Amino acid sequence: MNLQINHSVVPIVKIYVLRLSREAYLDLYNHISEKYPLEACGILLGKIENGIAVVTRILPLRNIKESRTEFWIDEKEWIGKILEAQKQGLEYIGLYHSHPDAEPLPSPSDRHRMLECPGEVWLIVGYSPSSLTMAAYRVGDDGYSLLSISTQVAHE
Amino acid sequence: MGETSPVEFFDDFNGESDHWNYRTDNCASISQEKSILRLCSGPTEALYYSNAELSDGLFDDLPWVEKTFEAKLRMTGIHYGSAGWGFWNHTMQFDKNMCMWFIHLQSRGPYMLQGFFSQVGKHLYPIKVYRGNIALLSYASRLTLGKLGVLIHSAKPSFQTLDLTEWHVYKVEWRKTGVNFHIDGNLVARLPPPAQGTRARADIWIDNAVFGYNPRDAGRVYRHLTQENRNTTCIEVDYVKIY
Repeated sequence: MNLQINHSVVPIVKIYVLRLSREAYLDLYNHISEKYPLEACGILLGKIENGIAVVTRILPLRNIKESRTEFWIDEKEWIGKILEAQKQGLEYIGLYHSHPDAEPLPSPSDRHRMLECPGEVWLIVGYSPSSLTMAAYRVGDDGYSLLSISTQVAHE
Repeated sequence: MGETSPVEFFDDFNGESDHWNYRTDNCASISQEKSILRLCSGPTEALYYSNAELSDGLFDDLPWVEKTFEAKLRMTGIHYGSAGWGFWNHTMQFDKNMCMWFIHLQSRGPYMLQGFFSQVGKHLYPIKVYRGNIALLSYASRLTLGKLGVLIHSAKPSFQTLDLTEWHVYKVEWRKTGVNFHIDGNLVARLPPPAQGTRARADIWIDNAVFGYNPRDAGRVYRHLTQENRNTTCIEVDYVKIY
């Protein structure tokens, strides 16, 4: 038997870079600043190729906690929006949420949730009216570590 | 190219071997002819558990740690129930079960996992989906924090054109840093490793049951949901290699 590359096999891709289009970044900024001082959250959509997740669209979700320090989503809204986006050819990349007046570091509950979401990227945005910092994470191959991945914003 | 470890066990089923435990339950058989091992199940009604299984260890006598399981095999049909091959630590307890295998699952009723998967404990990666919306299930499994009993790592099957009735070489690479699954040399899944200290046996089986998960189960085990099969279905094994 010849062992050879089968081109119908979908490659197992790990994401190493999260790149936001300019438009997606501005939408993200607008959503987060509008919700401040509450945590904002939403979905990252786009395309994943060669280890780079390119976010071309974000879709805000309702933070059902309506809190300054935590968030969670309406699960039906979340799934409905992902499936609708898939019909438009957009891949689900992961979730974003903001940390008002705080660093973009995963909280214990963020970490707990993220570990249940292998393959996804979680973008955390530290936001105050005078500053914005972003950090993105995914679960490592070992299933229990979080890896920080490079975050970029496209100029155009 | 990675380093190849020395072969620790090889059986091409060309003669008798005292290495294996052979198990059959109800309307099942194991036979060997012309260098092919045949594990067969059915026909059987759903009242009974029918199973043919080859393994090389029992509960507390498990020979393998961080090895590669390789087998060339095919199924003669796609039956109702399950079939699989790889490593397993021989317990169905929720908290202790640690399988690292390829698994076929098909049920007549509304069962969520209808397809061919790679699995490490509660972690599953879809390789081929027979029916149902795996994307929806994958997303739902992440949201429910374990309530479904499984965590499906991808919304896309990695090898939808796979024909299980053709001969293929399947490989489960169990490493400290993760478990890689290959079919004919193609990487089809990568899943987190089991807990350190896990030991396992090599296992190949075919039966008429899919596993069920009820978090309130009194025995804290995955239960058999038995299926009716009106024909015999077999796994034909050309060889098994552990290294």
